[in-house]
Amino acid sequence: MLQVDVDYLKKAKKRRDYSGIVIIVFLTLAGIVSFLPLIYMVSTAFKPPEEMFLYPPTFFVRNPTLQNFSDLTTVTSNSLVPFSRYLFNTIVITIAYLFCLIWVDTMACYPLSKHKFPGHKVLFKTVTTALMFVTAAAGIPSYLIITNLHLDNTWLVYIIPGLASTTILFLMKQFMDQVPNDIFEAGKIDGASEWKLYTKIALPLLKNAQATAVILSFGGIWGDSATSNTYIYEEQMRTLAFFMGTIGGNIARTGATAVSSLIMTLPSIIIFVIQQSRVMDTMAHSGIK
Amino acid sequence: MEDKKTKNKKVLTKKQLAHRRVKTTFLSFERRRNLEGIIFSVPWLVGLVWFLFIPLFMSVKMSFYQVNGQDLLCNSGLSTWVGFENYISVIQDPNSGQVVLNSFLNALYQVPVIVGFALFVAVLLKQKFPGRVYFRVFFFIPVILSGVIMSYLFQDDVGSISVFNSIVAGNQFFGFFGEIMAEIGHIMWRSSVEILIFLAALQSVPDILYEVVDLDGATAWESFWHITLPYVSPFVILNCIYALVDSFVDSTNPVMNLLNGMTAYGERAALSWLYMLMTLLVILVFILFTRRWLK
Repeated sequence: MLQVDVDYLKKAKKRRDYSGIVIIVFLTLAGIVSFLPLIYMVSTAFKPPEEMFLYPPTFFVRNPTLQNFSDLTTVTSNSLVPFSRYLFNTIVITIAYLFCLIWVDTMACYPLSKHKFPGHKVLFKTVTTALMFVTAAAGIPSYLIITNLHLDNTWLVYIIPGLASTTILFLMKQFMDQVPNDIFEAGKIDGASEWKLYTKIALPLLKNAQATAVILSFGGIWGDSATSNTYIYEEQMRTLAFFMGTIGGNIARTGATAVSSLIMTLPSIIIFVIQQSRVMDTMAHSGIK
Repeated sequence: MEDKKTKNKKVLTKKQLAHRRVKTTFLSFERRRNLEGIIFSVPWLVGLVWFLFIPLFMSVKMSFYQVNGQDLLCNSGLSTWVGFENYISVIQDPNSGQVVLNSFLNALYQVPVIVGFALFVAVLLKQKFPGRVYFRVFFFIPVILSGVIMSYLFQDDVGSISVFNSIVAGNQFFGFFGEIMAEIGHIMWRSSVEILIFLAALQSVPDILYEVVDLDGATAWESFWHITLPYVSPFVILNCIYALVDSFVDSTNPVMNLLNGMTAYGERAALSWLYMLMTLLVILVFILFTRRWLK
């Protein structure tokens, strides 16, 4: 009897080891495939011009050069507005937007999940349906609204229209639902006001959700060139993404474009690497559960 | 000294409490709570109404009017009511009908593949093996990169083709497998959010169940069908809906390209509303059929 058990255990152990290797091999292959665009982008940034227009195109660079980078610097040094100004605009706008986004959306998710005021169910249903709306339908009307509010040609136009994000609210509310009500009741018994409950309990517990929201929205606001293009008339108030977009469209500058796309993507990756530990195991140990 | 301070504080809080009790007679606890809840969500609500609902409402209105750029710029409002004419002309246009039909057919085969793949990967990522955190990062990175890469690397025709198509098109490195690779890659990039949702759902399955069936001698295959799947079945449906919506409103969808290129604003609004109604219909039918698993 004992003999059988030992045999079984040995077998089971062997089986598991084998499956572990299969898992790693499969996931590595899949991971490489989903990484291809990134690798391609890096390799394109180092391609000399003659390789860039080869047909059929090559995937990896053969004679890597830094020429594209120097091309980009000559383009930027010739621009009307200094490069640093675009960079400054983008950084300020990104930080302000993310800060406001998290503030507005966490504040909205707290009562939706914990207060159950009349109509909260209808509101949440609306949010989930709003995720399905085709925003292309609203393109022209929202242009009219923004210009009527005189938001155009100010920095606010980058920030305000995107604040009421249904996706982020949905995400925040899912996180908030995981936080037990008892914590808030305890806080209330100790005499905390609603504002204190929000700032001292809800916000710290939503840290992972905040990190996820930052990661999800960073790319959008950092790479936002459409707003600059549509609503901003002064060159000094436009963003880096807009400037990088103007570099392209010229065959002689293809190399510079490849480098600029790499530069525009890098911050997203850095932000993700910094925040990823929070996001990935978010649900696993969101404090309580 | 210390003692005195705490005493002072206590007295203060008692006073405050009494004060509050007086207040509550005017505003009952329940009402006060509701009011506070509404106040907290006001900034978000205002944004939602102002920048999503009002534009949507205006676009419904536009779909029943004849709209030209002049009217819009002069802010004179819409004047020529045309009834359902915009809708009729959109329906009669063979080109837009074809594009919409194609996008529905695409969704029909992509959604099961995406959800199946996402569930498979999520189950694998849940296993304990060295370096799984890095693998999780691998599968999540497309979410952040997609928008940025799409718009910068392939500026000329964002929306018409996926990143993978442009990479492998006529590429020696991939050769014959190029087309298949492009399709696989596209589906992988689209499935990262679904993977994340499944991962979160899998965390809710108690580990003890797996230990029990493992002791009973169940294989991994059996424990997947009898434990994992029943636990995550609501999330399978949720993910199907998410993938459906995602494939309908994705920026690489040819319908979006068509919509953005239309200059007849009335027809554009009409087409997008028709499209949205069709999307909703598909999702409702799907929910009706799968309702019994959604518990």
